[in-house]
Formats: sequence, C-alpha cells, structure tokens
Amino acid sequence: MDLVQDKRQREWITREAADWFVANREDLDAAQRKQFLAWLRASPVHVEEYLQIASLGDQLAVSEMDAEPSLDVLIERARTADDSDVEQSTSWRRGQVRDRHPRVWQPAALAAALGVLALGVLWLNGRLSTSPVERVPELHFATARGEQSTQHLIDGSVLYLNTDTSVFVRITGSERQVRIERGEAAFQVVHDTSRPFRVIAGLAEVVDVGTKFDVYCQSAESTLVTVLEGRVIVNPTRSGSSLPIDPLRPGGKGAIALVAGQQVRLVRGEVAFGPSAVDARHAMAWLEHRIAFERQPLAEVAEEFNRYGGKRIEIEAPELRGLAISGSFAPDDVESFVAFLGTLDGVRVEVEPARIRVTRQEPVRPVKR
Amino acid sequence: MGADKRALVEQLFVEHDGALRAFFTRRIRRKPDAAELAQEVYARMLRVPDVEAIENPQAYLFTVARNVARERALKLRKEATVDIDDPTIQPQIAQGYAWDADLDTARLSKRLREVLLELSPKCRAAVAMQYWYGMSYQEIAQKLEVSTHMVKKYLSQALTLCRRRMGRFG
Repeated sequence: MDLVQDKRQREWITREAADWFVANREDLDAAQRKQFLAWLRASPVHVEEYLQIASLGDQLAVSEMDAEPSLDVLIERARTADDSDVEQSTSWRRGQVRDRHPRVWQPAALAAALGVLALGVLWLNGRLSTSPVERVPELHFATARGEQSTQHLIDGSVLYLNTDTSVFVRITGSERQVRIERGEAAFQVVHDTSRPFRVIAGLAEVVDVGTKFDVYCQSAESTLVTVLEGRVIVNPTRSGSSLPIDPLRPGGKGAIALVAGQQVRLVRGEVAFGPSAVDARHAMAWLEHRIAFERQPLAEVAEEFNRYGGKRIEIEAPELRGLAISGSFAPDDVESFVAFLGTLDGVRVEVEPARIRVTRQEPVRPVKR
Repeated sequence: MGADKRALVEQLFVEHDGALRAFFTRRIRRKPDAAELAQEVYARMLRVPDVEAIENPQAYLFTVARNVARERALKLRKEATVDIDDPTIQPQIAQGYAWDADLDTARLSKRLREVLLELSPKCRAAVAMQYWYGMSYQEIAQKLEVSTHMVKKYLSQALTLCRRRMGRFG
C-alpha cells in the first residue's frame, strides 16, 4: 500500500529525514530526542525515509572519493560560491515544533498536495492565515478495494481503515484531526482534554471525548456515525467551520450527543435518521473482517460487498432491492453470500465472468406458505 | 534504558554495521521491500512501552531495522531452499537476491557520483569533508568560514537531492 501517494508530501518528509539524519551525527539533547522519536512514530513513511537517507549516508561513506578536484579546490570553490541556493531546511528545529518557520515553498506545496480536494483547499486556506500550528503537514493513509489497515497515531490513538478508504490526519500540540475523504474508519481514541479529537466526514464533524466509534462516509452527502464505547458529539454541518473548539463545550448549535450503542445518519447536514439504538458490534464487524447485516435491504447489502471489489453484484429486479437480509459474512467471500442468496425464495442468481446478476425467479411450482 | 543496556545496543550497532549496510543497499532499494520493512520496523517501535527512555533513538532504530532485515533474509533463504527443485521457481532464482547485488551496488555507486556533481559547491565540499575526510561539523565550518548551522543545512540539502535523484533511479 502506498501510504503517501503525493510526491510533494514525500519530498517534504525526505527533507525532514535528512535534517534529522544530519542532526543525529551529534548527540541530541533530551528535547531533540523526544522530537525525533515523535517524528519517527508519526508514520511508517517517516521511518522508511529515514532508513533510505541513512542508506545514502552509508553509500556516500564507502563510495570512492573523487581524485579531482582536490579538497583544497573544493573548499576554495565553496567559499567563493554564493549561498542563495541553500533553502531554509533546518531552521525550524531551533524552535519548538509548534512554531516552525514556514519554508518558502511550503504553502504552495501543501496547497498542491491537497489540490484535488476542493473542500480541503478551502479549509487549508482558511487556516493558513490564522496560525502556524496548522502548517504541520497532513499524513495520508489509504486502502485499496478489499484492503484494510490499522494505523497507530502519534498520540496513541488507533485508526482502523476499512476497504477503499482515504483519510488525512493532522496532529499538532493543540488538536487532533482526521478528515475522511472517502470510505469508513473506526477510531480508538486516547483521552486528551487539551487536544480534542475531531473527525470530519462530508459536511459532518464528530468530536470525540475518549472512546471507540465508527464513521462511514458513504458519499459526500451521507455519513453514518456509530459509537461502540464512550460518547461523542456530532455536529452535522460543522466541518466547513474554522472556529476553534471549546474542549469543555465541544458541541456547537445543532450538535447531538451520541452514546455507546447509538447510531445516527446524517444527510446533507441534517439528521436523517436517529439517534437510534443499534447493535454497534454490527457496524464494527468489519474490524474482524466480517460484515454483518440485520434485516437490511438487499440493495444495501449488495453495495457492501461491491465495496470490497471482486465480482460486482447487480440486482436487476427492482422488487428485490428491499428484500430484508440478515447474516454475517467475510467481505472477500462473495461466493458464500451468493450461495445464501440462491437459497431464498423467488431469487435467482447467475454468476457471469465479470458480474453476478440477481433476478426474480418465477416460481416453477407453487411456493410453500 | 540503563547504561549497560545502552552500551549493548551501541555495541550491536557497531558489530552489525556491515549487515546494516547490506540491508540498506540491497533490500531497501526494492520499493515494495523497503515500504514493507519500514512498516514492520515502525510497528515494532510502537510496541516500546517507555519510548522516552531510549537514549539513542537512531541506534535503536537501526537495531530494530537490522533485526527485521535479518529475519527477512532468513525467511527468503528458507523459501529458496524449500523451493529450489521446483522448475517453476527457477526463473525467480535466476533473478535472485544475491548475485545481482554487487552489480547493483556498482551501478548505484556510479549514479551517486554523477548526482554529487549536481550539488552546489558548498554542499559538495561539505559532503567531501564529512564522508571522505571524516571531519566534524565544527571543522567543516572553520574550513568553509560559515556556522555549523549552515554546514548542517548543506549536508541535509545534499542528502535530500541525492535521495530524490536516486529514488527516481531505483
């Protein structure tokens, strides 16, 4: 899985890795050690870049030195050359992480990194002017179809990504923010009153107070939030806002408190359904690589399987779309589900090379009542 | 981490320097390998209960990386031994992990020297003094008549450029 697809963000990380590698040749003081460890633990991509830079250092040390020009000539050329091409690559380390100096190209690079996301760019521009803290780069985690992954965040919280999901994570000294661009993620959040944990999905925002919950961004307009443990505040239309959060009163106008075992569906900034009591374990079943249904319409169930890739299930008979389905399946095991469908009265399943067609079975004999 | 334990880690670091280099120069250049290894190293680092107690994070990181690399090398060797009679595996062995490594290293070394020529005069001089003459930042700073802070900048920039160019190459 390519965790950071964006080249510019990767280059940023390369520079940070090089800065740290150079700094590590001398003894780090306690504060630097802490910062370095925090940086390493922020992402496996950081670890990889650091190892790559260290590998280069190794290769440089064993590579043959140039006979020409001599060291004296090199030094003489260096002294007379001007400095203007050296970028400010290490200056931020003199201060705390929270008041990094901006690098000349940083806002442009970040904006480009997020350029594909109109919402993201608006959000970023709204914030760049307010506080340098917000310029800490976002981390990007993504899964392909059929893939799931677990990410340990620097604050100790754990992020579980379901299939075909893309999220951006930004953790600073004052806030923790996850933006779900697509898909579904579950969160095990470490409690920290000084840093609210906010999840943005579509228009909605979920503010956590230390708990385990699931956010499924079904489309840009529709989001499903389920709480397994603890309590969260759901702001149906907050995500466009750049107002700071009051940790003591995280809910804004129209906010809903959701407790364990509750679920709410938000459509276009309004509560479309709920809060209602659900078996939250069903919403979280994917964490155990199962998907579970309880009297859900066949159309939705089929869409669930289609999220995981494999052969597409197409329901051709409109009257079957509402058929209630209950059960628990492995998401990559479409065959079992299709076999199960085939046992239902009035359902006919045809498996073709590229898709699975579900049609109405005309009864050849009277159906038993 | 106590002083004894730290000494042990540092000793491990020195002893296995060759293994580390082999790991870096061979395995990590294969992109999927590198990402997978880093992922595993990362996961292990997260399991450390008292991370603040690590006195030398870099040595610790390299130690973990070496262990992961060694385990992986053992696993690869085992797999190769098991499957060596399988005719379908022969083409894979022909493109194997070992014999092309030297060739790769020579090719990379050549490429690296080309990239070094792209460096600015200050960066190049700093690289030469650190890596080939083993000079400290202080000594380099005196020679170039700049601050040690600037020396670090030159070196960091040199590594970043090399990484970008070599990354595209690899």
